[in-house]
Amino acid sequence: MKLKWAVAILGLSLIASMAGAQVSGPTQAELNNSAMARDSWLMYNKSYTGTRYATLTQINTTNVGQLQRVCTFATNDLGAFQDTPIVYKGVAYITQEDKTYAIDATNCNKLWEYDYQPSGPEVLSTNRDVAIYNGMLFRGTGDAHLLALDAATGKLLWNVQVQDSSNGYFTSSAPIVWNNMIFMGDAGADWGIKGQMHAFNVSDGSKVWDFNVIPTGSEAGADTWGSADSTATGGGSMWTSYTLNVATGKLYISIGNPAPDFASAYRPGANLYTDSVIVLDAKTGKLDHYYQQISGDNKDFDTSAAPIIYTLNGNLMMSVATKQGYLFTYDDSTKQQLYKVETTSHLNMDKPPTTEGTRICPNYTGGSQWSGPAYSPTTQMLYVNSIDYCGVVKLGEVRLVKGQLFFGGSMELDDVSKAKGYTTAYDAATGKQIWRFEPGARSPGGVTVTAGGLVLTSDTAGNMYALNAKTGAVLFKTNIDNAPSGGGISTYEVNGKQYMAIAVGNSSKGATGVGAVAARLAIFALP
Amino acid sequence: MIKRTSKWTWRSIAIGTLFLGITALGVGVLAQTQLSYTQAQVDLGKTTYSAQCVMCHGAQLQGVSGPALAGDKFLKKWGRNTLDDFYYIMSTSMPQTNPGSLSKDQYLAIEAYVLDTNGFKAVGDKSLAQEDLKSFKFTK
Repeated sequence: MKLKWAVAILGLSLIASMAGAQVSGPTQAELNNSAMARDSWLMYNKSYTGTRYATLTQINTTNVGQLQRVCTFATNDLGAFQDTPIVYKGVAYITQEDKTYAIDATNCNKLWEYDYQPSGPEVLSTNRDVAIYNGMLFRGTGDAHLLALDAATGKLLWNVQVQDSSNGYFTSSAPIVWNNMIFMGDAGADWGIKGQMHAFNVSDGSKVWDFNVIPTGSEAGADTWGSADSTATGGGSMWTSYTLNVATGKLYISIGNPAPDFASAYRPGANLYTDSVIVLDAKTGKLDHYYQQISGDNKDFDTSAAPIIYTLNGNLMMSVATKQGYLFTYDDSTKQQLYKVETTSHLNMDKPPTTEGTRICPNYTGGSQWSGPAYSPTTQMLYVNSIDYCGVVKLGEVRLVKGQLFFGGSMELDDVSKAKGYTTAYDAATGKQIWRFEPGARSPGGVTVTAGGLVLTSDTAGNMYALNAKTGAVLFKTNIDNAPSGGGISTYEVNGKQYMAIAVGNSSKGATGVGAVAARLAIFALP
Repeated sequence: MIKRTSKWTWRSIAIGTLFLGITALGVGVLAQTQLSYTQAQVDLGKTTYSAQCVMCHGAQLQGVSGPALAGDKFLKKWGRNTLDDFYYIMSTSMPQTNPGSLSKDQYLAIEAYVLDTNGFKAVGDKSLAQEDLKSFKFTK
């Protein structure tokens, strides 16, 4: 009895000490080492390169079948949950619309919770997690603010307005931090915003620079907008996360669709820099170069998931997966496109929407939404989650109701039972498909690949899978409370033990038709 | 000073009279289009909502993967818009899987249900009609 009390008191003391402990890192040096770090998952896509590759090997192809759920933390919030848990010094940080949580990453004990009180209308509930640096967390909001929280306590440190959310702006990306700057872009193209990318000072949220994603006047690219008036609502969202080349200081950013989404006659031209990856000088915000995936899009086919960068055969490569259902790879040294391969089936991609309706595959909830490729230097393969799902796009009235959806038409989706999810492995050098796994439900969540030879993925039926990275064979499968997964899996070591943490729950409008199950963080480990 | 005061007094009377006239005209217009929807519309709206909208917007209209359609968050977002704006957005973008697939009566009924759930208390003999929607906003 005495022993039980002692253990209980010790446990409570540990929780109390963790909640109150000062968090001084991660330092810039730790962030620079994020790709190799074993004890943390420091960014939405693991590291600045975005490749979601973990060097951990304790859980591997020989023992992953023994994986067990250690614990679950349910937020009891039915809102969208598309995080990949950020983990630092044994603490996992997750976010939803207004809430930010710090959770013990070994036993799911809640350390603190912060509940944001918005001052403006919230456009969309989705938030994809925090950036962490020097004892601070940074996150966006549904009313287009940027917040800094104390990582040890959840106390609000500062709050700045990025844009006016009554005009459709919000900030849902997981930001990244580099050299005392926070990088965060505007979201809201479907609501008729005019997107900008921003850099903010970590100390007080003051602005460092802006970049106009929709160029006007004398700015380069303005001539790709045949109607200057249409640029005021031209779109160009940034709504997932960002990638950075630490060696060159170049920032890689996926830019979403032009608006109105379907009525391209309203905005004739190529509509730069929508549906593109732009590369900026991170210190100044000046454009270095760009790659456009779709010119004058009329089907809401964002380039949205963050691009990834990696070295292959001595060359700097950049790969990005799009909502249109393609994987693009470029040699970023020569700025040449190496290949464009299908991640879904395709129908009528070149046919414009009509008032009667044009049948298309994929529809705007298909392809790769907020989760980009993972890359393993061990297998030299790219791993892509995609959704094969068709529909009918219709042209409609172009009417702007400020702060509300600005589609200029509509998209009718097939019955959800016809939708398929894929996890596909491609040879990174050639784009040749190596294997494909079909989980039986859609797979909008992130893919993680490990040095232990595992590809970790999930689906909207609540299943989590560990696949053999070389063959795609299923080595482990479990269902997490039938909670549709739209988040990703982070993996990390605490006190020498490897864990896997997955964000599951209602996965958002990108996975329409699934049952609502409250968001939860589930943590797995070997027995 | 006295003359000037008199001058401004007369101007004030004239402006005040004009204002009263405009105000009276406004009241008259509003009187002709008092917000009203029927209980039958609310009931149809609830039934249709339960079949088509509840999965994303929640049983209490509190918002799930889709935004809230009731409460402070909803009213903050829609307060400056007319009921016609809401009808346009709803009827062209919802249900998400098949936008525009409901009948005009169903969309109007859902709008009546949303109004009623938000406490507008305008159940009456006159149905909510599409031609009335531009006259009202989501403000109490």
